[in-house]
Formats: sequence, structure tokens, C-alpha cells
Amino acid sequence: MPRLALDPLAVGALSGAAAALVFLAPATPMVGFDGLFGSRIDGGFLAGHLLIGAIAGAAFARVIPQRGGGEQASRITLALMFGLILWIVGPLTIGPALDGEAPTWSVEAASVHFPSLIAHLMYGGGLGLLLAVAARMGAGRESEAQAAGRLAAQPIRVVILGVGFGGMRTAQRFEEAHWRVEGLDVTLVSRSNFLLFTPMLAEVASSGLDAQAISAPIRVACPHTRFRHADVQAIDTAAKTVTARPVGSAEPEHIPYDHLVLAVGSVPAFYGLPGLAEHAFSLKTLEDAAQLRNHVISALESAVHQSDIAARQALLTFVVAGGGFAGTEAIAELFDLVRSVRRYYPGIGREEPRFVLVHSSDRIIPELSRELGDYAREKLQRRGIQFMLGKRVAGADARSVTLNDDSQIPTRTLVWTAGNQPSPLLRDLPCEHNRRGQVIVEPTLQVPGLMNVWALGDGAQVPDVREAGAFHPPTAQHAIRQGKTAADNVVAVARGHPPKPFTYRSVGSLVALGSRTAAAEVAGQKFSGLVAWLMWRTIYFSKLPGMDRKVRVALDWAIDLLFPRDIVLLPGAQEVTVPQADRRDGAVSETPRPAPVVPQGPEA
Amino acid sequence: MIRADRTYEWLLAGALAGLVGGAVLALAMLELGMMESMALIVRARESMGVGLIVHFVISAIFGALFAVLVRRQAQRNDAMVFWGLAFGVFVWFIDPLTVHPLAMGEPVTWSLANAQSSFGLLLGFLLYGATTGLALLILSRPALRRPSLVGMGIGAVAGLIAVTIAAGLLSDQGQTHLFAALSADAARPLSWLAALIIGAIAGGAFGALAQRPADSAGAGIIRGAMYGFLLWVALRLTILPLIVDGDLPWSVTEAAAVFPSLFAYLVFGGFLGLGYQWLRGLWRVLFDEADGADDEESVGARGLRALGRGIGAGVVGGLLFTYVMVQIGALRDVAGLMGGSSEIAGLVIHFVIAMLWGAAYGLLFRRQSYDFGSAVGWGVSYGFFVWILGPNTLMPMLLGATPAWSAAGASSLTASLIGHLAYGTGLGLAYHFFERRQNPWWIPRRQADETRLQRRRETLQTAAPALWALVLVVGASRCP
Repeated sequence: MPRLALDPLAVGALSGAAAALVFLAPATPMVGFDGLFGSRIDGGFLAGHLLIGAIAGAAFARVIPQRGGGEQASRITLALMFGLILWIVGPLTIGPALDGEAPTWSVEAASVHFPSLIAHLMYGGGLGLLLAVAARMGAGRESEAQAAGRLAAQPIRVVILGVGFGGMRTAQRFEEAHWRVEGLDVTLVSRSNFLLFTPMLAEVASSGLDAQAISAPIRVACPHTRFRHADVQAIDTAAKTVTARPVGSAEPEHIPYDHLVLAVGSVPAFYGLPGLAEHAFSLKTLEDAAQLRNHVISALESAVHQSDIAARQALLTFVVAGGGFAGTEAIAELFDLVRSVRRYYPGIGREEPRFVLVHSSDRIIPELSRELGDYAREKLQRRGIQFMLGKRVAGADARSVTLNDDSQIPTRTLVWTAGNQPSPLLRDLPCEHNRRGQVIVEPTLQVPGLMNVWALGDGAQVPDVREAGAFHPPTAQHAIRQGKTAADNVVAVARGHPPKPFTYRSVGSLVALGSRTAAAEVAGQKFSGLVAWLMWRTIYFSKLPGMDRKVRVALDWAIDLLFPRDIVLLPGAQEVTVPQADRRDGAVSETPRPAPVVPQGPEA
Repeated sequence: MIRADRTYEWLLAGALAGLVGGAVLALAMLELGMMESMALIVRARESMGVGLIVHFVISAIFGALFAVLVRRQAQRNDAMVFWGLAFGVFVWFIDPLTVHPLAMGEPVTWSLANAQSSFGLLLGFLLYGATTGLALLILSRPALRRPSLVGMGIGAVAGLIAVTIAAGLLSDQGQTHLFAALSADAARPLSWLAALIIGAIAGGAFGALAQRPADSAGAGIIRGAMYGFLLWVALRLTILPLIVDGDLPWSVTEAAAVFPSLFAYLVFGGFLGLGYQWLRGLWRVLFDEADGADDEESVGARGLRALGRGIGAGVVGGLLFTYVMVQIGALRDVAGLMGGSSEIAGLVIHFVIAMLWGAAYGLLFRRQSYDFGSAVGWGVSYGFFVWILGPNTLMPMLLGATPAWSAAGASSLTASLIGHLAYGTGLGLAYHFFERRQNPWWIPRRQADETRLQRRRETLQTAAPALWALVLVVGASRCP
């Protein structure tokens, strides 16, 4: 059969015009017949009808792709229905409107336009038939072999590193609007196979939520993205390859890319302070949260039968370094956890547990207004949480935390939220970095000097185009929007269009303060107390990825309302350790806590 | 077995199938006394013999054309019978309404009066199309799988449930006898018994015909409603009257008199399709160890998302419908549902209803449309079904009246039908838009997905509303 090389639109227009002609031709001698769109047939209108028929045919062919093969008959019946819709839209609706009358769609009107109904159905059927014949001849459609060949010849390989908010959103954006039919082959590489919903991480550490409730599997969230469960080891921007070692394999593999999106997030930074890497808990990953939770419960278990006052006091002292969002939420949640379960440890007095927040500035949560920061501090202080403002943690050992004024706090629990640094992976990239180690990017998120490399999230310093010299803060809110911009820009560049700069103004910030209170600043308005807490829960609940996670979190919250927090020590929990010098009752010997695993973690 | 790659075999098979369909049509034409006039087409005198020859030649030609059209589908798809129905209508436009007058040297008049006088032929051509489709299906698949007893049993149970609903609604109107073509003075229990027997048998036959369940409950409903329509033509208007009265009530006035049975059969078919789909699913879960459920998303994940998208799409469809509502001033009537009378209350209730039907659409038609064409197809079919269940049935019931499925009642709701079709269009399009934004499921990732996708593309998508609208306009309009 001869193959016709015609565009689908042209085929549609020709078929539409021919179908219009076919049903107009026998209709011409009729008396009182009204044509395709309700207008009277005479010589002058014939061209008009052909034109409208052609436009409708082209529209149909454009919207309903002709694939040939096994869909032919359904497409013809669909075209028949298209005729019915045209009849309703044309003679029954637009026709009266053109005559200055309101359409009635009554059975009388339908009866009057009955010949036109027949004509329209015939037009639809004829159009479908002609398109099917054209498709059989190969015109107006791309054969499957051609389509496969086009995709296979030049797919654009996009590799995304990291599954934080930014990386996940980038992948989802590719899925939403730029499907694989566009010739994109998107691969996401990460050590972690889930997105961690970090705003609720402190609640996991305080036993308020199950770990799984706040982690969304990548394969569920991005079903059309190729996922590689692997450790990224190196990036070669000259050869345009990423070297990654699949989890469970010793052999690294090389993943080539045309576009690389760096969304690797940040890891805790201890700034070389002595003892911190060994003795401090960070709060960046699910593993961190689970370890901290187990450690706190284990500390309570040990304290109950610890007769030495000093050792007991150290076990019951919980220190958090850093008074930002993460630190404030962590101390509030730890307080809630201990208070909620203390009754099961009858030997521990109500006033015994001590909570200390160390912060270098004179006010906590500097991202919020001073008013709200003070509110948060006062609220927590009233519960008995102690604030050491204007001080820094200078070091830590198994028994205590040392501050920069050389004072010491005897404790077994130090949570470090006072510093983050971009993933070490970015350090070796041959591009410009800022003082903190972030990659300096253009407003379009492109990394200058590196072809088709894009960076976003915690690891990138993104200039704010609306304010010279200003940069977007490294928050989840921004990372999510940057992910969308990065995906759109990759596609724009691939199509030869210029990329657009990233612009976003934060809607607001919320911090949970435990005990059904929170502080929030949304659209310039300040909220606090129960209202802010409800806002916090509503907003973050709505942002949870996946309906099943929402259900899990809702259930956990409901349980938390009715029951005390869980104090089961999960298998593999590190027992809290009591140094030799403090031993009075046969507690275990001192061992440092295992060094925290700090892979390219999800972003904060 | 006929091979799809041999054109001449196909044309021959189509012609043979056309002859089988033509034989059915010939019986009807003989009954209607129209066969002799067929001879006039070849400029011969009116004669039975020549008329028969002409008729069978034309039947064979159209059969061959049908075979060409469905060639790619024939070996795989059970929907052939329904394509046959659509083809029958198309032939009705072409042959008695157009070619026949032209061949006779008469002016072509596609007028309503002409269509109404050809109503019997419309039914005949519907039967011709369905029979041709069925014959071609059998010819192209001689090794048809034996119908499974389980499928037929489930079909019979679904049929009993569906007929209880449909005949129950007829019973409210005092018209139960219409379902089984009994006379108006037939005893009520007898009417019910006949309806239940028909429901069980028709359901069992549906289970035998639908060798493979539809891909979603929504597709099941539309497939079932098409089956209901076929039953109305073949059983209610043809076989049953021939058995009961020995007569074919194929004139438009006679059809209008039994109009409530059209809705009853459509409702019966729709619920049969839905019930069959659900019961098959239940059977699969309970007794079929090798089910394909592991390829499906879990109910919670798919259902809630589909519900949300359906509600959103319902609002879009409702917006389109609002235009019609405002034009025909129907908002006050809707307000009456909740005892109100203001247009604002009517608008609010209208949108709530639009969202509820939209939510149901989301659940029933999830992952069924893969482009805007199929989206319109499903949406419009659904809109038509909602029109039967909504303004024709539920709305009068909620207003404290009994539904009246009369031709007059339906014709007074034509504007509402247009509104519902507009609603369905908006609903289907918006739902597809929402679904494809988040998860373009029709881009296959695995072989299993590819197979399922291909199956859905071959699913009838659907000229049903066009057929029903046509029959409605022809049947429900006043006779000249």
C-alpha cells in the first residue's frame, strides 16, 4: 500500500472537507435543509461549510491521534459521536445565538434540526472512515516503528542526584508535564529509596509518629522515573557521567547524562569541634531520629535504677545545640516525650529531667520575627526548658557538653542542629563555591562553567533576582519550587528555548512548640498558640506526599491524642552508656556512640 | 480460521456475515412488507424474488465493508457486536435515507417525518449490524473459548440484581408488564416473574458474551448499557412481541408506546455491567489464586485520588451544565430538591450534585481514558446514563413523585439531556487532564502495562450516546 507523507492536521482538514462535501452534496436539493452548522445551504455557504468541516476535521485529527492498528473501529464510532457533539454545539446552540435567540434545546428544536442531526452524524462517520483509511495508508500518523526509532535515536538523558524535596519535585515535574514521549529519559540516583518528610522528623524522634509514616517511597511517588538505588561516588562533568555504586554491589557503574540536576542536600557540620562527631546526635535522617528516640528511652530506663545522683542527673539532662527551627522543635518534642512517659518510671521525679537549649544568638528562631521568637522562648521556658543564649557548644565527651565559656553541662544526650554543610559530593565539582561550600548558580539554577549541570536546594546558592545581592534561603519550600523550575528549564534548553530565572517569595514559616502550641508567620500575619498549631498540622499534613502517608500520620496523631507515647526499645537500639567513673551499679562500660552515617541525605 | 493478513478472505468473511445479517433484516422486511420495493432500486418491477436478490447483494456489500473496518479488531475484541450496532445506524443513514431515494430518482429528505416512517428499518438495520458483527466474530474466531459456567452464573446473579432495580423502577410507574412485553392487564406477579426470568437469562448470556471482564466498572456500565440497548431492539421490540403477539411493533408510534421499556433496558444493562464487573472482581479476590491484582494499585491509593479528581472534574462539568441550566431556567427546580426556591440555592445544589456524580465517575472510570478523545467518549456516555438516572428517575423520586419514563417525559427533558452531555464532556476532559498531570498511566513501563493499555485502546469508545440520542429524537418527537 502506498505510504502518504502528510501531516495529521492536513489529513484531518482534507478528510473533514471531504466529509462535509459528501453529506452536503446529497443535501443540496433538499428543501429547508440546514447545513453543517445550522446555516442555510446556498452556493455562497458551500465554501464556508467546507472550511468549517475542514477545521473541525483538523481539530478532531489533532486531538484524537490516529494510530491505526487495533483502534480503527473505536475511532470511527468516536467520530460518529463527534458529529453528535457538533450538532449540539452548532445548530442547537450557536445557531439560535447567531439569530439573537436563546437556545432552548427542546425536542421541538431538535425535531426542526433533525435533518441536520443526520447530516452531522454522517459527517462524523464519514470523517472517521476517511481518517481510518488515511491511517491505513500511513498518512497523518507516525508508525510505531518510527516513533520507537525516534525515541531510541536521541533520548535526552536527565540524571537527578538526591531524593530530597528538590530532587523529588524535579522528577515529579518531569512526570507531570514532560512525559517520556517527549524523549526524556529521567533517572534518579540516591542511597535512600524514599523521600523523608523532614518537617515531622522531630515527631519521630519523640515517638509521636512512626518512622514509615513520614517517608514516601520514590518508586510510588515517581512511577515513571528510572530509580537507581546507589551511592554516588563521583561526578565527571567533562565526560558527562556519574559514577555510582549500587547498594549491595561492589562494582561501581557509570551513568551517562545529557543534563545533570544536583539536589543532594546537606549533611550535619560539626566544624571540627572535639567529640561532637562521636557523641552528638544529629537530626537529619530517619536513622538519626530512630537512634535519638531509642537513646532517650534507654536513658530513662538507666536513670531509674541509677543511684548516683550526678550520673542520674546527667542521664536525665537533654541538651540541644542550635535554636533554629530544627533545634527548637527537637527540644519541644523531647520535652513532650519525656513528660508523656515519665509516669512509667516511678523513680524519676517530675522536676528531675532537665532540658537545655544552647544557641549562639540572643534570640531563637531568627527566621521568625523577634516577637514570635520571644513567644516561643517564653512558652518553652514556662514548661521548664532552660535557654543558654549567646553561647556555643565547644566540644563534647561521653559525660558532658562543654560550652565556649568553658562551662560544662553533664549530660549523655546532645542533639546537634547548629550547623549543616552541603553534601561532600559537591566539594569536588570544578565550579565556584561560596564560603559554606554551596555551589554558586545562576538565577536559572544552571551551574556556570558546567554544561547542562543544574543545582538546587541546600547545596546551591541561588541568587534572588528581585533583590541584588540577596539569596534564597535553603528551605524545603524553596527547594520544591526550584525543582519545578529546574525541570522546566531542562526541557526549555533541550528544545532550544532560553531557561527562566527562579523566582519565589516564601509564603511563611511555622514552628511547632509541642503541647499543642506553635508559632507561625504566614503572609505577613503572625499566629501563635493553638491556632498556629492547627495551622502547622493542617499545612504540613496537606504537604505529606501520598495518601497512605496522610492516613498513617492521621492515625498516629489520633493515637497520640488518646494514648501515651510508645516506649518500646526497638531492636538494635544503642543502650545509653555510663562512663566508668560514674559506675555505681554495674552499668555498662563507656563506648562512644557509633559515628553517624552521613550519606547524601535528604534536604532539610 | 480466517487470517487477518489475507484481504480476500476478509472480504469474503464480511460478505458472508453480511448475508447472515441480511437474512435477519429480510425476515423483518418481509414482516413489514417492504421487500418487494427493493426491486425498484434496479429499475425492475416490484417483485419478491428480485427484491430478495437486491437485498442480499447490498447486505453482502455492506458486510464486506464492515469487515474491512473492523479487520484489526476482529480476532481480539468482543465489542464487535456493538460496532455492528453503530455500523447498522450508519448504513441506515446511507441506504434507506440516502442511496435508496437517489437510486429511485426521488429527492433525498432527511426529514424527521421520513426518519419516523423509516423507524422500523432503523431497528432492522440495528439488528442487521449486530448480527453481522456477531457472525463475523464467530467466523474469524472459530475456536471461541467455551463460555465459562462461572461467568454465566455471575452474569445471571448480576442480571437478577439489575432487573430488580430496573423492573422495580418500572413497577413504581405501574409499567412492570412492559419489560416482558406483556399486555397491560397482565397480573403483577406474572410480570415480575417474566422480568426476573428475562433478567437471569440475559445476565447469563451477558456473562457468556463478555468473555473477558471490562477494564473498569465504568467501562462495564457502558458495555452493559449497550447490551441493554441491543436487548431492547432484539428482544423487547422483536423476539418477545413475535412470541406474545406474533407481530412486530416496529412503527414509531408503537415504539413510543413502550418507551419506558427503553429506559428500563438501558438501566438494566448498566447495572448488569456494573454488577457483573464487581462480582467478577469479588470472585477473583476470593477464589482465583492466579489473579492479576498484583498489577493493580491498592484500593486506598487509587480510590482516594480518583475520588478527589472526580470531584474536581465534576465542578468543571457542572460549570458547563450551568450554562444550559441558566438558559432554560431550571435552577429553581433543582432548589426544590432541598425544599428551596431561590436560584442561588439551586446553583449550590446543582454543584453539589455535579460533584457527587463526578466523584462516582472518578471511581468508576479511573484510568480508562488515555487521550482527550477517549475522555470525551467515556464522559458523554456517562452523562447520558446520569440523565436517565438523574432527572428522569431520582429527581422526581426526591421531589416526592414517581418517575415517568414516557416519551413525553423524556422529550420534555431534552434540554436537560443536552446539559448532561455537556456535563459529561467537561467531566471526562477535566478528569483526564487531572489524571494525566499526575500520572500518565498510559505510558507503559512494563509488558503487563502495555498489554492492558492496548486492551483499553480497543475498548469500545463509544457511539452509544449518538445512537440513543438518535432513537430518542426519532421516537420521542411527536409524529407528523
